[in-house]
Amino acid sequence: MKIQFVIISVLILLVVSCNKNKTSQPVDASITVIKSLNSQEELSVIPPSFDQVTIVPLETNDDVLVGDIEQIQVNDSLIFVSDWNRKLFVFDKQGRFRNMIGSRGNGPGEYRALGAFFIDDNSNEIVILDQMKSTFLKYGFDGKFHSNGVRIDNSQIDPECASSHGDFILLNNSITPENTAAYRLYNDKGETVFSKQYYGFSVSDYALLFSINPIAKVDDGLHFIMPLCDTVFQCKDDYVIPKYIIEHSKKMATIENYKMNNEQTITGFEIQSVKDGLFTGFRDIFETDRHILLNYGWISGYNSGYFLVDKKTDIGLYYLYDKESIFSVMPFFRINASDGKNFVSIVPAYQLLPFKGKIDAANDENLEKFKTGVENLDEEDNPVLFFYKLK
Amino acid sequence: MKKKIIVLTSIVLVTSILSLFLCIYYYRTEEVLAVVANTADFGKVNYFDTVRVETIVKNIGDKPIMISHILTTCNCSMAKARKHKLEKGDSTIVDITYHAVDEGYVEKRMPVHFINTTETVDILLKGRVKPINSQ
Repeated sequence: MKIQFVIISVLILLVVSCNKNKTSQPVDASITVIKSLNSQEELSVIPPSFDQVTIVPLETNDDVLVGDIEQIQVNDSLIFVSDWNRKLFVFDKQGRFRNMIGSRGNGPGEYRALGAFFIDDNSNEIVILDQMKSTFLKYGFDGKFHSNGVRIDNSQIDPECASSHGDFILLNNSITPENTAAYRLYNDKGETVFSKQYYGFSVSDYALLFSINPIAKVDDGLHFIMPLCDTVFQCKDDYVIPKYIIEHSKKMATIENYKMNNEQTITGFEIQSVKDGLFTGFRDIFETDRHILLNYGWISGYNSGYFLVDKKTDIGLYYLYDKESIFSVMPFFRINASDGKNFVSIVPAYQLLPFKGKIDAANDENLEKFKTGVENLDEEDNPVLFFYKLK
Repeated sequence: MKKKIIVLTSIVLVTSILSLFLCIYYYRTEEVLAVVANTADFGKVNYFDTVRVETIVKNIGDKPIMISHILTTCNCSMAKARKHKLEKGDSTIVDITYHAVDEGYVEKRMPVHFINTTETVDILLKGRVKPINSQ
């Protein structure tokens, strides 16, 4: 009898502990539907109003030449830019070059392959994922190597974007034959806590990159997006929930549409989908304290679009990034980053040359800044950053 | 005492053989690749053109290698190898598709990934895209 009681008690304990959900979700998880004031067929070409624009040409000299930019991160005082040469540059908010972060190599503090990187606000460090070592490397903002971080439990990833929240790190990866998980969340031991695939996407012999900026860092965690999807997901600690659903007027393309075009790039698929009257979802997500901005693909000919949400009202508007150069209006260039208060665009110098000497400032403070910013620009100069503080 | 010495010696021997095995295995999987990848130059194109170019990846080492996939750093391009297993001295054509959505001088790195190694070799895609305002 005594033995039977003990056995039953142990069994009950086992059942209870197995049912303990490690990825428990909050009791009051709720999804906010973001309404749109306009349809995707009637995009606004007038950019959103902004309080101010800060224009920052990045310093150019023989030792500081930024190649094709792969990733940019901005905090309240510094700008971090990685380029295709796998170099990581640090500039201040006036565009002056400060230092490099690390260097390529096999020595201590050197990285073999600069994968994604992010700013760790808790420790005030830059964290690089060396994808060949599958290890996070930590550096000070001055470029000095601090320490090796955790080694992650998966070496077959190709990270494109990373961000951290508390002790957790969320990576977004290219889809490859070896890795079908688009998102992986790691704990402070480098263990995968959860992974998420793009529904139905798989590749046999190539790599598929969906987005460069699919993750946004916010106060209450991380927000991220998925292809062919109108939902913004929230990642907080070790759980994931849908946070927003974005209203859209066009029919969403499906994975079957993509498979019929599987020889094309994602861009090619987007272009074809526009012709077919379909929407392929959002490409990038950026957030400030007041707004969410979601880039999406090609609208017509040469233009792409974005959806801007006011967080106070949960209402948004679809806009067009207009590539036409109008010299009496402050342009709103395609957004590539956010520093929490401003949306940031990084514009190659050659793209600004058409404005040189032609801007009609007419006592407009922002246009005056723009005029000054491009006055001495040359084609080979480093890019110029535009910080837009929206109303 | 004699028994203890035999046991200790056996442990040391087994550990040494195991370490030697692991070193050889590690060395094998971390061998430096002897692969070359050519630059792919698409010349001068208009903004929004779809570009298709070819380049070559060649195994100049002594051992066969296996291409896994080729990464791109933007969703405007894709690269596929026609052949994945390359014997010693063998090469393959890589087909690259690029939608010209960048303006001006373009340089894009495309790392070629292989099975059983974390080493990669970069294909460089370059060319010039005529800015839309000049067309």
